[in-house]
Amino acid sequence: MTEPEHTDEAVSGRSRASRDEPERTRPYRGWWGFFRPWEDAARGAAGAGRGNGEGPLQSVVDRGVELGYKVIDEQIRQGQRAAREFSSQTYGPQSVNRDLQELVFRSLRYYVDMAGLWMDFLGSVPGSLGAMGGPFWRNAGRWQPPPPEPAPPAAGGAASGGAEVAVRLSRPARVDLRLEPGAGARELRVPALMASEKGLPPITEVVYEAAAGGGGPALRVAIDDGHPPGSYCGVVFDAVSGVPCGTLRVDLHEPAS
Amino acid sequence: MSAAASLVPEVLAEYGEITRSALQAYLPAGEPRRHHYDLLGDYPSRGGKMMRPSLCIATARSFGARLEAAVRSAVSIELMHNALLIHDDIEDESEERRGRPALHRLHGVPLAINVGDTLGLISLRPLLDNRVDIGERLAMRILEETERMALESAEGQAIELGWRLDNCCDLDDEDYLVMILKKTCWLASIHPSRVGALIGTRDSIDLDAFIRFGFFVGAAFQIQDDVLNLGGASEAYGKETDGDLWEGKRTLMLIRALNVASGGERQRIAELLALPREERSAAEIRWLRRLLDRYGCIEYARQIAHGLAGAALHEFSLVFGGLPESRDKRFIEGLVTWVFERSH
Repeated sequence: MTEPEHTDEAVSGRSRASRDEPERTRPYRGWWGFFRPWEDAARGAAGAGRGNGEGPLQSVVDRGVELGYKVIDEQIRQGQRAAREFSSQTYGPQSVNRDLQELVFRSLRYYVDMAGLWMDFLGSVPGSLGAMGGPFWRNAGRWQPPPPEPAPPAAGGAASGGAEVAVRLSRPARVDLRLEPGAGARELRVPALMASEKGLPPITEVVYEAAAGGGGPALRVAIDDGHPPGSYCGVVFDAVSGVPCGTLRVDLHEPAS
Repeated sequence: MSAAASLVPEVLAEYGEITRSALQAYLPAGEPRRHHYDLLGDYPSRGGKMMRPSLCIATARSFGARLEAAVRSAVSIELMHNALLIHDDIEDESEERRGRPALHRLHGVPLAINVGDTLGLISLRPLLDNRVDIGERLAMRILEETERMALESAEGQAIELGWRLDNCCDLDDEDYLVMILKKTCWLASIHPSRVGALIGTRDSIDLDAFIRFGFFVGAAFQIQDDVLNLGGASEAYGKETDGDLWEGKRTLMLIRALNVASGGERQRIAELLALPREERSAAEIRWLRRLLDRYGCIEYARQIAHGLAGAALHEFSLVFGGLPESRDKRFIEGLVTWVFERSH
């Protein structure tokens, strides 16, 4: 579009108001403008325009981020394209029937999952399965017998059995045993207690002892006198199902001389 | 050290211990021990940062899941990571891993490949066992996610190996980001956070946002890792110093050097990279290292990493911002800055 030519002398004799030439050489289309003030967007675009980061360090940062978004957005687009291709099947009567069966099957599975979710919810209600924030009870400090297990919910949670699990050590140590409700009634297995500090050997001998002679079940942790002090932790499994049901932590100090 | 800065190592140690302990249960014993089963536990027992399993557990917990629901997936991720490390070390001709000779340097390539194969196979077992903890449908979704991660990682490794095989010297930053997206970021951060979110939300959230967050964290992590490889003392870093230059890895620094060096220098770099590793001389590697310094390539890479970390924090706010405050949420946010504070 061309400017109309002014012929009026009064107008042409005055200096015309004009804008400074903009610093930008092209529109700002980078993502940076969405999150930064206008000036920063200008800086980012200027940096991007200088090729492979030859400008100030800030433009290097901007360019890296811009490139990052370009790469990752392309990856997401590719994933969406692949998903569309997988989902765009030909639909004949047979496939509709198949999809219906799949829908029914999926609904059933969702129902099963929702039941599990409901049980999780019950587990988080104070006074039902444990304290808010998780089903584990905490037992800080030197090991104490676990508190009585709360009654199972009327909705049919696993019977807790109320059994207490003792921890027997061959060396004095601070113990923190956390078991989910009901775990005390099952046979337990602890493969190893791993050290939090790099290079320390694990404690590998943790043996479950079933209740016998009137005593309750126990986890016996055998620790050599020469085993280095440190913090050791392991997952407690249900020995039969292999499901994790708690954690055991042993803080081992220097043996008393 | 600030509370946020100390939280990351603390959570890494805690979730790392739990994962390592649970992992023990998946390492078979028996014969043949000397040439196989005794070697399975070698890399997992060498320590490691445990970022991958910790990110999986923390993401699941920040969405409200129980720790136990995520432990098996975390074990699988760690097993797969160790399996790929063994194969990567062979393919990259690496000499050290976590401060000790690489597995193939200790026992030879054939046994190491076999151990890597077995660890990869074993990594599927916890995912099958997931059915007990989180239900069949979710367990199957995580298996699908794992399949995708494994494919992306293999593609990334193939891209990088192809560059070295063809002695590619005309790469740019975008090529590099695409490569590490696949080779590193999927297993390091995208997959753990997606699996954690699947478990935490019971597959009720759009996972694309986790690709963005995981990519930016993982890319910043990888670039910082490459920077440490050039600058870090071998003992703290756990790999040989300048090992990436010896291996001819196309890092962001090397790509930058290839783009800004003079024609003669570029030619000399290309000739050096064309040689087999054992024929590269220490003097030439030192020259290349000085060239990277002269052109500010390390600082350049560091600045790119800082930018990516900033984007990671932005994506974090989009994905996790609406969740209630928790230790796990603070840990995930803290990971972004911890990437630069670590020395190994």
